[in-house]
Amino acid sequence: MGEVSGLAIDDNESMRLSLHKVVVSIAILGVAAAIAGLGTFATFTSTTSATHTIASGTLTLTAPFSRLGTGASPIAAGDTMQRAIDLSYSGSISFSAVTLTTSASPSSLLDTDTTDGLHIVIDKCSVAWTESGPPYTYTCGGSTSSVLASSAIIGSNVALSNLTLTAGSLDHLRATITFPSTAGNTLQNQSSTLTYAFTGTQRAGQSQ
Amino acid sequence: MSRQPPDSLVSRRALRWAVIAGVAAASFTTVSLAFAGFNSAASGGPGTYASKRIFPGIRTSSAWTLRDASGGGAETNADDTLSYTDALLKTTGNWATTFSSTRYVEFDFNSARPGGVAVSSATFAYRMAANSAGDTACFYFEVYRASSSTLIGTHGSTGVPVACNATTTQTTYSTTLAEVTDTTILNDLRVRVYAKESGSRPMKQDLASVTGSTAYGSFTTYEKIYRDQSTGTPATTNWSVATSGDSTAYVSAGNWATTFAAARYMKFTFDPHVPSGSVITSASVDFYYKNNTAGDTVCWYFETYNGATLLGTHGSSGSPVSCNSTAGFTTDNVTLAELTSVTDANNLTIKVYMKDSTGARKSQTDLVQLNINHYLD
Amino acid sequence: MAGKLVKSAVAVGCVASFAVLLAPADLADASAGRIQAEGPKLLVDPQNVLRARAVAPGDRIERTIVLRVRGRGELRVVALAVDATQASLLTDPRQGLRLSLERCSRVWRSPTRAHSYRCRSTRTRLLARGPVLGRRRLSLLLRPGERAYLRLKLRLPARAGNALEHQTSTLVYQFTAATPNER
Repeated sequence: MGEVSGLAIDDNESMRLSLHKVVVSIAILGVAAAIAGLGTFATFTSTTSATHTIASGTLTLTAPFSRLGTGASPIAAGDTMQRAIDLSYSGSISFSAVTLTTSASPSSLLDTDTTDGLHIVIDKCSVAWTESGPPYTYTCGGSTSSVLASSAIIGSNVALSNLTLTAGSLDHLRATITFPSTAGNTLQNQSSTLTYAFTGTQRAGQSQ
Repeated sequence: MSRQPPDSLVSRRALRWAVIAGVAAASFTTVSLAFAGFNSAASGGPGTYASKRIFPGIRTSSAWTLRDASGGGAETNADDTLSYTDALLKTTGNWATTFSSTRYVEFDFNSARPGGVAVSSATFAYRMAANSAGDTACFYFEVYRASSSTLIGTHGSTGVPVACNATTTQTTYSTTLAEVTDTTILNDLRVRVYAKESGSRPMKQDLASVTGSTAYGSFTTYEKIYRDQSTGTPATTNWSVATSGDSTAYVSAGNWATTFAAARYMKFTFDPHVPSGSVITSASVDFYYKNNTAGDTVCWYFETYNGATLLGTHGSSGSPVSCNSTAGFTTDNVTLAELTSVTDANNLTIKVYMKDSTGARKSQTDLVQLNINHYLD
Repeated sequence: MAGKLVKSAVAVGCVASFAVLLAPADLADASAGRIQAEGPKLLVDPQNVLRARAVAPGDRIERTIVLRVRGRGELRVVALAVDATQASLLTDPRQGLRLSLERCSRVWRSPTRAHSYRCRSTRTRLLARGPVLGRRRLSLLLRPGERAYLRLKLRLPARAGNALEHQTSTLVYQFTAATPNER
């Protein structure tokens, strides 16, 4: 314990020194923590928002009026048949083009003979065609324009001209189907059932 | 300020989506190039168009039945000798005892059918007999397109004839003509008969006609041009009233009077075979005539009949259809407004009354032709 | 005496620590701008971007917005998050709208067609074209009083099919900014 007394003297001094160290350490730690806290405390974030509604349109081609479902029988070489159809561009997007594809089922020489078989011409009236009959005939009270020049009745993706194509508009068309007078006896007793498919494609992309 | 590069996280994400989108775009583009963007379709129809079974057109037919009472007495049977089995015979020239390519008789048939109609059971009926007892006549024949002289069928041969007749009894030999498949061919038909006669003598013919059927009924086609080259030298004999301007005219059997008379007439019966259900839009008759003695004036009027039923009268004894005092044929075409039914058309007889200014003189008739414009829906 | 020193030191340390502990709560409040009134705030104009109607494949939608800072201090715009409060096929990552973002050092001009803008000075691409939805990093420094003139450019791919007809989406463009680090 002499050592104890030495230790006692050293202990007192040592204890005092230790306590001093502890105090300083604690203080340093506290200040350091405070300083650290001050650095984190300086970063701000901010968010802001804007809303934007985008709606796509519709591209809709309809035929609200059509006489194309009315055929003709029996026909002879030289006969002509007129049938009206309205094309409506009802939808919010305009068209760039409309094509026509005609098919036949059942088929016969009336549609397979591209020279003496049926031919079609389409024209447009600026106002609704005035219909008479049946047998249907049409007169135009406005101005006419050519949509399709004379072509064999069967065609695929045939381009149509002078159509309005604007969303919300309507085209009044008249199809004239002709049985050429040059058709010979081989085209007797033939029967074809025709279907017409009008396909419209949208306008080119634009700024909205 | 320099351009800011995209954030690395965005780049990785963008790259991942770009790969996915690119693959999807490639497949979508491959499949759907034609459908890029919005499209819409509208349809019209279906509408059925059917052509008539027989197009409108004028079909002409002569009269092969002719009964002549121009003299005022009983009717003389002046029918075409080759159109009916009526014992009115046409005798050929002398044949050789063997077949020869230069010895034949030839028949061009009339073209009264609407074209383009399928034909079934076309049959060549040839009725003949040897000239003398103990002789044998044999034949085979060829079929041609008359307009182009194109051979379309051969029946029998020199070694195997179609038939032989060792008697003088008229016998009908019927041969199916498979090569005649439609009325277009039928309307352009020529049959050439090669024959041999054991006695180097003529062959006697009673009938050369073609029969058959279409979907719209049966028909008989009659010869209008007959060429006899049995001796090796051709001689043409047309049915007198079937073709105009052919130097073959029918001379009335008897003499006309100076006035019309009910008992003096010539009757022509037609066989147009208008299909049942057809619509007749118009009909007319062509009658070409003149005097048989220069300087005479002949006049005519006529009646139309269906059997014994009077259908119409054209002209009269007081106002004939026409008169001809010239040396040339008068070519009259008279509309038959009364001919509206298929039955009347298929049984039409015209009864022609004539007079001759001098009296006791004959007339010549170059053409008697029925023209019917009809169609079948 | 020693004991008092210890107690005092402990007290100081605790107070400092407590102050540090309090700091995150204050950061959260700073982001909301409620308590830290002196912190800069990011603003966008307009908050309702002009609607696009009857859009078809191949169409281009250009809209200009302006970012600015209110208050003291700089802000670095660090992210753009695009979400849809009303989703549709228009936001489909494969066939839907594609978005890109550019900055012009001056106001975007529309000399000819409506909704078509040109930059007559320095143009910087901030975001390359990509699917419209998602969060992307940005790095755009805004000083007090400075404005960032941005152009949003959306495009509906030309190959978009009929399934994208009659679709409506409401997009929310959320920009996040933070004060730059002062260490």
